[in-house]
Parts: sequence; structure tokens; C-alpha cells
Amino acid sequence: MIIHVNIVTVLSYILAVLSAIIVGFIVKLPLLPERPIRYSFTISIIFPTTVIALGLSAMVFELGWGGIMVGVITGILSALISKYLLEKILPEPTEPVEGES
Amino acid sequence: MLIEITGIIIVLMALRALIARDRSERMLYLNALSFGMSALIALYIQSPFGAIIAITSFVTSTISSNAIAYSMGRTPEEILIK
Amino acid sequence: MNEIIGIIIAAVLSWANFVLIDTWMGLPEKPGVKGADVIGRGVKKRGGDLSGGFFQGNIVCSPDASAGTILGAISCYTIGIPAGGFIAALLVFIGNRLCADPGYAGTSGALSIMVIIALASFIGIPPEQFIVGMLLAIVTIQGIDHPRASRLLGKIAKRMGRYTELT
Repeated sequence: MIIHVNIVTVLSYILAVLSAIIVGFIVKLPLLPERPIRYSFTISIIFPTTVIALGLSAMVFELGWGGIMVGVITGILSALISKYLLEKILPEPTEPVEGES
Repeated sequence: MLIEITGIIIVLMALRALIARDRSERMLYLNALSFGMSALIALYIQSPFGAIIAITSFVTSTISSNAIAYSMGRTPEEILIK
Repeated sequence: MNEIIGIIIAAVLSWANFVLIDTWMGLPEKPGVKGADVIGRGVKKRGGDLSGGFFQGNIVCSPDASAGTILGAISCYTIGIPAGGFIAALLVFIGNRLCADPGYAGTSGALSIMVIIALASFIGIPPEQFIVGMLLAIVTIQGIDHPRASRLLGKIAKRMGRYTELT
């Protein structure tokens, strides 16, 4: 079976996302990006924070550190990364993207 | 058999890119080729590091294609030096 | 299940996954970067549809759901489910932001193909057949007949309300 799940791993992923969402509310990230959602670069709780939380937790679990506490810490870290670090390392593009003569 | 299929597709896309006349048409064939390269890397190196290499190779080839396509729009025609 | 049939089914599923997600995320509507505009107009000049051309140009210039699908399949094959899908989603998101794209299409493509691969493993289609299936799917759009593929993509874009307003 290629699906590697046991109840502890599933719980750790869920707790990582939950703690990322909770810390996201604490540091005042917006919940949803602005409309139309598909073109918005806003960093919100739903969009990069959850993806970063799941991705970082997956990397950490695959490297060997597992468990609920590790999941919670990774969730907290991902919320902090997406609030303070993401703008600096992956800035929003500023130059005009179409319509050059 | 999967690696053979991937290899055949890569060679076919490279040949089509060679005989294409329009520059922007070549970009599309090369893009299909870079999908194939990524798949080949992952199917050959069947380990998590193979996935990292495949993803990195694909993302960097996309960044390069982005830059190439952008500069294609800025130079209107081929400049022939007599 | 027979390998050829598995690859064909995986190709159809991957095609549907990335075309529907990309169309929904607005790839046919406008070129995300200037390079996609160049490619789109090149396809139109050769007899294709402008909206489909923008779709094809956007695939070249930025990781989108097609990249998310193949990289998600690669990660599910080498790393496993669900860790592979989540890692692919994160790395495709980073790649998207490096290419001036918000990132919605790539991440949703990777996560949804992870779900599809997990379900398909119960009927006997392993993830490696999805890697080759996705490669075949992208070749039908980017590698055989660009004007005809762009007309098909344009029709799908019209049906989903994402046709371009530019000319």
C-alpha cells in the first residue's frame, strides 16, 4: 500500500493545520484573499499558510521527527513564516505584466 | 516500459522543436520536453531525492522559459548581419 | 490491471484534472506574464484560438495545475501519500511565486491529483502510471497540433465562463 497513514500522523497533520490557523488569527492574518481570489497575491490564512503548514509538516515527518508536538510546533512556525518571512523571500511582482508597447 | 515511453516522447518533442519554424512554437515543444525530463529523472532515480531533483529541474526550466518568452516579445524580428 | 490501459486511464484523469483546474483559475482569460502573451499571439497567428493560446502560453511561463499534477504524481510515487502531495504542493507554490503567479492553480492541481492517485490505487493504477499519463496529456496540448488544441481549450473556456476579453 502506498498510502502511509496511521492515526498519529493524521492527527499531527490536522493539528499542524489547526495551530497554523489559530496562530494566524493571533497575528492578524486575513482569513480570505481579496476577490477575485484567483488573481490575488494577498497572504491569508486559507491560502499560503495552510499549504506551508502541510508541506513543512510533511517534510519534517519524512525526515523522521514525528508526533503531535512536532506537528503543533511546525504549524506555529508556518503561520509565523507566512506572516513575517514570506513577503521578504517571495515578494509580490511589481512590474507591469502586460501591455508593453 | 514507462522509461521507454518517456524517452520516446522526449526524442519526438526534441525533433519537432528542431524542425519548427516559428520561435514561439519551439517554446511549446520545449516545454513538453521539460515535462518529459522531469518524469525521466523521477522514474530513474526512484527515491525522494529524485523527486526533489525533478521538481527543481522543472521549476528552473520554467523560470528560464519565462525569461526567454519575455525577451522574444521584445525583439521584433531576427537581425541579420550582412 | 493491464499497464497500457492503466496509463490511458491515468492520462484521461490527469488531462481532466489540469485542464479543468487551470481553466477555472483563469489561465485562458489573460496572459499572466508578457511571455505568455507572445506565445498566445503566435498560436493565434497560426490559426488557433487566442484564449487557448493564452492557456498554452501560461503553461510555458509559470507552473500551473499541469506542473502541479506531474510533480504531485512524481512526489506521490517517490515519497508516498499524503506526504508527497503536500511536499509537491509547497514546492510548486514556491515555484509559482518565483514566476510572478499567485499559486492557486499549482497547489490545487497537486493536492487534487494526490486524492485521485490515492483513489486510483484501489483499482490497481499505481502512481508511476500517472507520471507517464500526465506526460501524454501535456503532449496532446503542447506537442501535437497547437492551433487545434487551442481551439478545444477555447471552447472549454467559453463553457466555463473564462474566455478572454482581449483581442
